Amino acid sequence: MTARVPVSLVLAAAAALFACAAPPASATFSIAAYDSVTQELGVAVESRAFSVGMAVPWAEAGVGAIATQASTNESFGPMGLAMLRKGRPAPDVLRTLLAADSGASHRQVGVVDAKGRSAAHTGSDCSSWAGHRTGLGYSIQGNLLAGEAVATEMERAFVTTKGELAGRLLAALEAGQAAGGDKRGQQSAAILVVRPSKTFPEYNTRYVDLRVEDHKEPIRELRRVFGILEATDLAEAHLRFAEAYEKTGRKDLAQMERERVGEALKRALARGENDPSNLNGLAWTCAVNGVFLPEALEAAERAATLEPKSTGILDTLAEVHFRMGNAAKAAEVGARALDLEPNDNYLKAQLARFRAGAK
Amino acid sequence: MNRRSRTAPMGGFLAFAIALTALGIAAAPCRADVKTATFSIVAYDSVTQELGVAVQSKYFSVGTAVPWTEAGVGAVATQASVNVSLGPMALSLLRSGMSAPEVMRALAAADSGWDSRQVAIVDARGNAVNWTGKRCLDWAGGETGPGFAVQGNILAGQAVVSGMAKAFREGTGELAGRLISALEAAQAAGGDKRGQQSAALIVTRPSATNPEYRERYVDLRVEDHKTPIKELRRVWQIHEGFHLAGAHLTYASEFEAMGKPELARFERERVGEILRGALARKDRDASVLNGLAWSCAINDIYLPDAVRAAQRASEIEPRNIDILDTLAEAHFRSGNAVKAIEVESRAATLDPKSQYLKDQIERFRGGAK
Repeated sequence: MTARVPVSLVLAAAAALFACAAPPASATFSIAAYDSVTQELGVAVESRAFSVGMAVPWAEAGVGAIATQASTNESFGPMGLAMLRKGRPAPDVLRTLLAADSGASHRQVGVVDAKGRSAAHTGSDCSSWAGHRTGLGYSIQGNLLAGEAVATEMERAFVTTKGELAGRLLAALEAGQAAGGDKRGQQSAAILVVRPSKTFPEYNTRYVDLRVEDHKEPIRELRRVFGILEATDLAEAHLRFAEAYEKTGRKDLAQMERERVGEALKRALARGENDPSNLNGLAWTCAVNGVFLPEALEAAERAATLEPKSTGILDTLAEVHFRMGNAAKAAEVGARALDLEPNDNYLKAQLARFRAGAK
Repeated sequence: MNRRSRTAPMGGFLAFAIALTALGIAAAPCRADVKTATFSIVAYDSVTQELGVAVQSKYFSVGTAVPWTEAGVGAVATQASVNVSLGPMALSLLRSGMSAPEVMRALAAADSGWDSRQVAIVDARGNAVNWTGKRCLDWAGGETGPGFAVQGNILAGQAVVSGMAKAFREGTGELAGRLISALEAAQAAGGDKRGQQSAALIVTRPSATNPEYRERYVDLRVEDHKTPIKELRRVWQIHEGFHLAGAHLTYASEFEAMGKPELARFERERVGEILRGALARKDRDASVLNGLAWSCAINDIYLPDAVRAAQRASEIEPRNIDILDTLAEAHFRSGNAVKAIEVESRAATLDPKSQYLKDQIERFRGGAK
């Protein structure tokens, strides 16, 4: 995305320049996409430039998603969203943005609107390999890449990966990197997914919003922090949407939302997750919602093995046992937790509840 | 803040249970002593019209939840038993013309969990207010001053908050730098009782030419780190060199065009401050030094510092053609065409096919006496 010197500097100083620096030598690949079931819109991006998440990805629920890169014109983000907000289709918005930009031949842009229409542009002055792939609901683009395989592998990964949009976007980035990725190496990555919600307005601008600003392996780090999000806020978000769908009589979609928490839990178990907090977060979320209890038990037991003195984890384990109908076991584990913190009123109340259930 | 906490797993049960209750989901009995911790500052700069939030927390990815800001509108921090929705709701009310105190009253009236919340708002006229519900855990509280509010919960003590306020009041220079200094002062005063995990910094600023600055003038995150404030300072320094110097020159041009040369000069001064800061701390990031040196050179400002920065970058990466080109340009602008030609010729031996470098040498020759 940036040049030998930051593009912003070049642009800022353009008037003062009489010898313009060599063409921008930077590298970025990204995907903008839409999920017609959940109405999610998102962008994932990796770059050999600092803090790519501040410049490239732009998205708003019910409006669209934009990736603006190469010799980046960041104003394409907010300007494009403003046009999409008026209901203009993605190809139309892209044309308008480029028509007003004297540097269009240096830009690379992908746009997806809230109906899944997509459009992309790779300026003729973008450094090779540079190009894009579009399809219904997605646009994939990159410049200064190892080769065309980066884009085709991203496309294949996005199209074939199942599950929620954020996971598919990350899979696309990983496939792009595996196919050679940036010629120049890696520095930063970001994922931004937005989703319409009346009850939780924050999801309209930040449903998944994670950054890796300056890292040797930014995609791997992005996957790591996404693992934490999946076990905490995102699990909670799915259950919020499940409830909202129940209220509108969409039992199938409510079930899908709950399944996504279970999928996250099963993935964590399958990859041998050893972060006790992640395991505990997922186990607790499932327990209090009465879903995926056998997996929740396995996760809570693994967390308790890793951190045997955590009263929080023991409480989760007890709760899972209780929800599975094993009140005696719940009371036993709850008593162990209380031994560790004998003055804790919450743990006392829990134990009393388990014992009452045991009778 | 305390959504479901990962490291103190019981921590978020209260918030979680509230959310579940609101949705009619039967929740387990909830733990009263929510064990997470956050401190933050919201602030306004009346000269630049910047609005910003800086925050650190013993919670994952605090930047997704706590800070909300929009240029010309306001800045909001929502934390403790966090109701994230209060962020976008507050901005929406501010956008409709309500003042910060009016928005706070409106939020209080609409939130049944208000006693567990901690919220701070500063509007685009600099009115600042904060709220600490009585169920927030000790030490919890805040302080306000002209254009800013500082607040936190589960802190080592009141000194954390007063340290933030003092650091912000006494700070000089641009808003983002003062916000980070406030976080550092809070941490130095004991910070969170429970430790640290994540930090974030957002600053927004009105701009006629760059609409992205209205939402993201500075926007940096540290999602999961042992020393998040230190890491935030590190990435901020990269950001200064890479993006902010250019932004200041953009504003300088905007102000020149508006017939405000004193503000234009002020913006250029900030670039000089960034450059001198990088030199003073002996920055070893060649690309940051190079970026700063280049932007000063082509704007004919701080040329002696630009030469020093380019020289240092060139010592770190002696075979980097871009850095050599910057060094040559800085020499040329300083009136030393002979040195410029010498340096650029070195670059040309590394990349003999470059027409750009040939043109540069030709240009320097034309300027040589």
